[in-house]
Amino acid sequence: MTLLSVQSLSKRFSRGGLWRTGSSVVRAVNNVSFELDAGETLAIVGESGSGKSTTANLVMRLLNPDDGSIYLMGENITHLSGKALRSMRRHMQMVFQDPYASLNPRMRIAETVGEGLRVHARDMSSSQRMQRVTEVLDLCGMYPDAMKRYPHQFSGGQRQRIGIARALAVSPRLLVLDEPVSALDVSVQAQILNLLRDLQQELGLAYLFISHDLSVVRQVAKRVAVMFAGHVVEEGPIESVFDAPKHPYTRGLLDARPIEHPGERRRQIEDAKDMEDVADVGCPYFFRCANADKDCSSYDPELTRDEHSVACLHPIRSGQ
Amino acid sequence: MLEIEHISLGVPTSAGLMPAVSDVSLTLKPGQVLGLVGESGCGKTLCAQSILRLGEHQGIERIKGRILLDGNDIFDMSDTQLQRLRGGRIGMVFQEPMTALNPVFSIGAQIIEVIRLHQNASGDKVRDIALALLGDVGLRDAAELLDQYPDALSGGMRQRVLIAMAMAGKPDYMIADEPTTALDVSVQARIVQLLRRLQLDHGMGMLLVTHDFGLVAELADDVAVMYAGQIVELGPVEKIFDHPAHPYTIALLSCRPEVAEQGKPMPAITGHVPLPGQWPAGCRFASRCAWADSDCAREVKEKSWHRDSHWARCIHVDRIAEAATREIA
Repeated sequence: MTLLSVQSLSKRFSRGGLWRTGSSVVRAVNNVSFELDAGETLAIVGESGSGKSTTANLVMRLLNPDDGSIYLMGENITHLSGKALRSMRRHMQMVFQDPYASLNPRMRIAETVGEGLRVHARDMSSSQRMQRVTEVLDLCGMYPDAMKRYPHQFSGGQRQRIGIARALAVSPRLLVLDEPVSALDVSVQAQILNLLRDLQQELGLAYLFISHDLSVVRQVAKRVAVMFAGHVVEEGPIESVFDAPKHPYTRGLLDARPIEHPGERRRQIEDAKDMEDVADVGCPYFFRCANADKDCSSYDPELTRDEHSVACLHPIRSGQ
Repeated sequence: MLEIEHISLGVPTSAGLMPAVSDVSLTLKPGQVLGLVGESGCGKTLCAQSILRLGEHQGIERIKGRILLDGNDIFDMSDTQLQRLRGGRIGMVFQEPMTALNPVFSIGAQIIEVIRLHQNASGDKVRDIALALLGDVGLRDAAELLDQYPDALSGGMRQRVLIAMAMAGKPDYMIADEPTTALDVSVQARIVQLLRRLQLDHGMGMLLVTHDFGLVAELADDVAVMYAGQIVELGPVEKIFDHPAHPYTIALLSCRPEVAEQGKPMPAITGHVPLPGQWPAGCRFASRCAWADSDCAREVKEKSWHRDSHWARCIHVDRIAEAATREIA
């Protein structure tokens, strides 16, 4: 069952220029579409500036899209506001990257985790609320004595557990996770990824998992969408995208992954194209692409509509 | 040679100096890269900064030990000597390319300042050296770049500028503290390649501080694994990857998402690194270790297991190795 459906979503920001003089428009998210089934994980990968976090914020309705629509559980939430939006937000919650910055340092854990319930479950008594807080903390591997304490008394991994507990308190169907393990040490990262896996199995949650780390994505997601310069350039089942990437950008990202063993050392990465340039017309990847020809400079390819889709005039064929 | 000998460092707290690095010995050889790995809070950065006595203005103090550069103790140096050493014979690159450059000075002003300090040059010659340095780190249009300010540069370009500045003093040794951590994957790969090339071309000795075993695999000749202020294992990079001896190293290597088996729970290390002041007697890793028994609470000597150039601080190494062989068989 489709839980989240995003259709032709676009968001533009204007950049630079004091008093908006000489400002330019950045197309942060451009015609992005994807679907996420209940209980599944879709990862969005890309580098900084690719629009992956903006996409997350649009889905959460923390930003208003310029174009396109967002459906959650079949309901169009694109233009909801006020009470109607609040009642839909109960079904989707967000977990942020930095467990040090995303918890209010002056609030006890019990208040932080229970805050969503004050908004979304007003008829709950305070003892019911505390019962629920204990429950979600326990789900996330935290003891009840955490409730009376403050964020600074916890390690990074524990804080991220608290952040996840806070999101779970209102029993959402969808978690939007924006780089949830990037700020953590590998040892702790593995703990949190295991926790997310267990929670998904137990509660049937769907995850929209935003990350720049391909290895992490491979561990958690069934499907992956690769974003570049605001566009989804490739989308498909994780195995298929990792083993047989179709877009030259995806292939480049995969090739740039750190090696696993010193024996693999000294592969060369071509250092030819300037990594800063994004084309305004034609394919956004034109300036960096080794396979580009003149058609690519004028024609912006759309994402194909199949199981493993790609937006490229000259996709890589398997075995190539 | 750059030798760290039995260094212990303390950080200031309201209760006085608290030991944060204990009895660390490391040797940096010319032309060799030594990786220093461990989780955050292990004391890696403190160790690296002590080589240039950088933590002193924050009250970090040497409790004991020496740091010898070609036989001369860095702790005996005067302020002037130290200033010449920092960015001169020993260069440094840090993690935060976004904050390490001063936003109010142009790239040119900042790089020229370093060249003036460490090279005997003036006027046009300084500018030529700056252009050559920027070119050497793979920055094109170096002349234009000199007039630009840091905010106009991407993270990758800033890191290249910082590496160029680190190279300005023609260093014999380079300290690179998480040099790629804040960068995008594709940029990371290019910076790694650049560091490798510079290190080889100039025969530099490098101390690479990182939590990332991928980076270590790519660059390091030797690896030191640090835990709770101590080195717990040291050896050649292939040995560390293929036959890690200390349970901490084994655990760290196996919880990398790159090598974890898909669809199965990932191996993780429970708990977290004990902070300075909370170190237990005996083995400091014992509380998180699957192999620990009552013997581990005894004082664990450095190099309790030793084979050629590979050693570990663990009394159960043989038992663990045996189990590993049995598992393979």
